[in-house]
Amino acid sequence: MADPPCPHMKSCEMYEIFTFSETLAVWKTRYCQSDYSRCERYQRALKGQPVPVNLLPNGHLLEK
Amino acid sequence: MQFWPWYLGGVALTTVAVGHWLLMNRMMAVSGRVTALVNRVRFGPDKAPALSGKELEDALLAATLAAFGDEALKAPPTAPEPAPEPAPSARPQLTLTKPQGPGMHALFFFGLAIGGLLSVLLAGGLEVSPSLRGARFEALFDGPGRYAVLLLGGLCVGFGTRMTGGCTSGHGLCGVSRFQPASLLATAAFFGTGIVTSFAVALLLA
Ligand code: SF4
Repeated sequence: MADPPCPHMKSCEMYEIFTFSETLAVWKTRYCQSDYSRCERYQRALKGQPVPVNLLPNGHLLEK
Repeated sequence: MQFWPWYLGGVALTTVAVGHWLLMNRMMAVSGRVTALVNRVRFGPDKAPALSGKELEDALLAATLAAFGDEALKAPPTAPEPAPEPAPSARPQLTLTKPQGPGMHALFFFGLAIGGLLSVLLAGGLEVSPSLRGARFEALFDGPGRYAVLLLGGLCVGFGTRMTGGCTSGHGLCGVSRFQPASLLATAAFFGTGIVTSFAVALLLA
């Protein structure tokens, strides 16, 4: 049976960004649609901590 | 005190919720703003840079290649035939929207207080009292007990709001109108509990 997708998908700003191109889809298949519990954004949200908009699931922060 | 008719209250609330979305490009959430202010005190200011367009695309591509290497360039195995990439001019602009700063939250709360004050002045004048204005409440609680009950009620509301990730504005107005399952459940729970509690209190005092 397929893994359930991340319950934060509808409200996650980064997920919306991952739908933008085929190259970015790898984040969805590796995190959002499978092993979302190891996503840094998901973990921080679960702990009630702020989630920076530029935070990627692997903990990397997007910079200029 | 003269209250507005219920239907005018509904129209006013809808106007505020829709207006907030149109003007701010985000859902109205009162407790969300409180959380943002508390987080600012607890974790310091948000240092995320404002990224958009080509700058954001480049940063994303570099991070994706660093994380997955060549795998990022392969289409996902279960994906259908990829649609042709639209021309850059036809593609929507990628943007990371920065959260609002504390000034905007403070302005919102200022507006909330002024709106409430205006409404109460128009309805006959301001009168501060430690009561829920119900004869039953006043019969049951007296003196400092009233303050204690109101404080406890406020704490319970705050705790529940944080636990469910929203309040009457986020869940009740914006979530229910978008048929969000979590908001439907949360609103049914807090209104349902309110109805049951008021009947229970009425029975206890009968
Ligand atoms: S897995 Fe992470 S990035 Fe994906 S939707 Fe959930 S929180 Fe967002």
